[in-house]
Amino acid sequence: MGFIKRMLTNNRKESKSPPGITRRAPAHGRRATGDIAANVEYVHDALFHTDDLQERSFEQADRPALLVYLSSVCDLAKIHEAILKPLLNSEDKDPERIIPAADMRRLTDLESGIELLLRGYTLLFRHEREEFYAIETAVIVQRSVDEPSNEKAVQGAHNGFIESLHVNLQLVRRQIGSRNLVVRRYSLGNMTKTEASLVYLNDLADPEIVEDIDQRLRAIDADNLMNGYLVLEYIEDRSFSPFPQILQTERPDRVAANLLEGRVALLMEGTSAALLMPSSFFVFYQSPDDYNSRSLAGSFIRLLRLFSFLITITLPAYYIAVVSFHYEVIPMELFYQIKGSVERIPYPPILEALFMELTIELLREASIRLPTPVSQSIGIVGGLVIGDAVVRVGLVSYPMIIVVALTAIASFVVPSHEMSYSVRLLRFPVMIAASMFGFIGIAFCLTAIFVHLCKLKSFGTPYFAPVAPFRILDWKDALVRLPYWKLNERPNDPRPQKLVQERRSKEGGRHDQE
Amino acid sequence: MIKNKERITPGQLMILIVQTQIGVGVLFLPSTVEAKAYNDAWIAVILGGGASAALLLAIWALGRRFPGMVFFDFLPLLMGKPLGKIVHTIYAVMFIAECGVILAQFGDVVRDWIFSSTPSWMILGLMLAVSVYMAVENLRFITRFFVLTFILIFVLILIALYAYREAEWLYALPIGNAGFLNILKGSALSMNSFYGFEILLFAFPFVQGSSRSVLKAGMYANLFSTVVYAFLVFTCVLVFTPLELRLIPQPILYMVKALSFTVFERADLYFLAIWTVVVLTTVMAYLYMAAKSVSSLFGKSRHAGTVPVVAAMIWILAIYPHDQDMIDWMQRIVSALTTLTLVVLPTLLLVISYIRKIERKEQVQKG
Repeated sequence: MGFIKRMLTNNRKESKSPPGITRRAPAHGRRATGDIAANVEYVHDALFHTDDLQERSFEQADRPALLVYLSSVCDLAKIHEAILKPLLNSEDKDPERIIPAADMRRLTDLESGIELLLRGYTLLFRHEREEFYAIETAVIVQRSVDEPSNEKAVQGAHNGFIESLHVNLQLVRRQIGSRNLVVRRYSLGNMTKTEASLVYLNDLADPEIVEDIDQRLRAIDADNLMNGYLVLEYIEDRSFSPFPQILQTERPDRVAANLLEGRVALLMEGTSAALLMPSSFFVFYQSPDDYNSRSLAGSFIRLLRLFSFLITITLPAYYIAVVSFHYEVIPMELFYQIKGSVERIPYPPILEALFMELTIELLREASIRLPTPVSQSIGIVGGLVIGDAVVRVGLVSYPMIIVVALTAIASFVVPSHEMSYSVRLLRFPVMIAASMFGFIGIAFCLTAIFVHLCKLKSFGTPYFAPVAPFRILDWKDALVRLPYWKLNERPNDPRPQKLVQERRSKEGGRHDQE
Repeated sequence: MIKNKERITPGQLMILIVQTQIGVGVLFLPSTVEAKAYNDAWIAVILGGGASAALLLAIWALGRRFPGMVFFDFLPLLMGKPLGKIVHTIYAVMFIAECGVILAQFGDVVRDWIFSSTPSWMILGLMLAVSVYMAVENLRFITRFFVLTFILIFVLILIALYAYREAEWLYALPIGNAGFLNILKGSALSMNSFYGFEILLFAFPFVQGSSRSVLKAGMYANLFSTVVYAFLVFTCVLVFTPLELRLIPQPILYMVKALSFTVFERADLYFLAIWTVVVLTTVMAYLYMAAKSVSSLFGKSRHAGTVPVVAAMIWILAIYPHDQDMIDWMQRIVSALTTLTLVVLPTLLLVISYIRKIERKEQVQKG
């Protein structure tokens, strides 16, 4: 057995940290001393004499002082303007009175000073002082808050999250003025130390869920948690489920709306998406568009999207089942057309379908990687040339092209990228089942999918709510979208602390007019 | 002992019972009952529904006396340990056998109607695999799925409603033509389709609310099933001549097959696909009950590990019969078993409980 085990693990030794080197900082840290040189020496040692660690010594009020900073993460102009200039021009001994910086901390622990140093703070040591200062001087490189390209909305706000946690939090706070909006900070990843913030409304989000998320976040013991997408797999319930259980969105308005329903958002430095938890199936099918258009239009679009879910999963399977087993269900006039087209094809329908589906997936994948002008020509080559030639050669039948094209379009209707993937993956097992057992196979496969949906949970809340468990009151904002004044209660599935969100506003208004 | 997480509402209980009751019977009931009760088959079905309501009442009365306990928890209290074990085993065998027969009948229909050459062990295996995936969960999850698929029963009814275009109302007349005795015989035969209410034995302690609401839910469920069955049988009586009905085994399918919609033909294939899901829910429920009874027979509280084992037994049982005679033979055995376990035993147990005044005194806290 040992031999097999060794073979499977590729002869790798088990990972153990070599003795003598500990990964974590000493628990109690180390106090700064009055000796500048000793302090700086400690900092240099702690950072292994990295070359971007720079120092600048000077005299302030006739006493030696020293600035230490990491040149790679600091804004030199800021150090110059906000620290050096005032210090050199003043005879005042207390830096707190001189330095015009909003974020300036007095510290005694060198270890925590080093943590801040790594984030772009500048450390100020002074002669014979056991405390030192950390002043925020980080350089901020950020793009503008553009509309995310994968979540465009026709109507509604056109800003989106960027890779800066600070800006993202700002965008969320701008949307929700409530004092109940709380931000809990985390530092994730043993090595990456990525800043993360859990955002929720204190009077809405279920404390149990917040607690659960907090525990899951703290339980992660991994070196690399660079961005939200990495964290997502650590904290989601079932990683091998085809359905995503955490919504990723780059739209501040979507995050704000979900926070107002009692969900919890996780924002991370370096991630231009927020993770929304707990997310039910229908959350993935809601888009700001249906909230920003009028109720009838919004409901229509939403029903269309849910219909697209069924189309994507079942349409190719249905066609395969019909062509392979149940020719009888096609009306007579159509039958001759389809039969005539299919008869020339030497392959079983399932191969035809797989071939065509894979071609479309290839085209899609290729066009993402290419620059826009090239990807357009790929679309033309792929869509028109291959599509036409494939039929003329006799590899694929015309009806199959229609079915596959419709399915592809339907799969892109989902407003969430993740869900779009899962739906596209799911149609393959259904197609295979249909090719073996026809309608019965589709029934089995759909049953399995829906059983899975009923069993799935997202942070302890039922994933397929409000359909299973059945709660028809919540359908008004899940399957359709009724006018806002009809949405008196919040959806029940994220277990908000308060259900009422609207109190007969319309009737009050009418009363005033009379 | 009953966790809050496993509780279901009375409404869910109703649908749970309906989904367990309505299954293969949809296709087989009309011709079996018609064979005895002729054009009064629908009256026989209603009588059968009444009888099953009475049995449901007995099970409810039994469950009410032992709040917070599942049937197999209080069985030894009533019958003593050794006898209780024997009865428990009989129940376990009954659930497995009943599930096997349901599957065998399903396999038969699929072979006759769609896949004449696909081996039925394959289809039944797939069906059981899907059911296992559901049955390992607790009642709450199962009920959620049942509620989700409840709508399919209405779709079946809608499709059948379309057949009224070809109905001949005179076929139902004269009412009472078959004679009282024949109607009774017919309703005895129809009982097979009403079995499934025994899920109350397992579900009772999980239901939130008073025992009155449980009874109400059970009665509504039984009423619903009775109406659906009676409607389907009545439709068949109206559409087919008595002579035709005797010849064809699944009259509903023949009836639906003849329907022609402009968008699609051969509604029977769609009907069968939907019916498959309806049967699946029944199989899931029976698998759950069988696994529960087997696991508690061996003193285990969790049933998830038992489900695949029980499913394998059911599978072997279901693919064993290869001709109609064997299926009939199996059905006779199973109906003897079900009569014993669902008609005789609950009544007997209830009587014992009342005479010897055995019941559970303390009330379980509602939560």
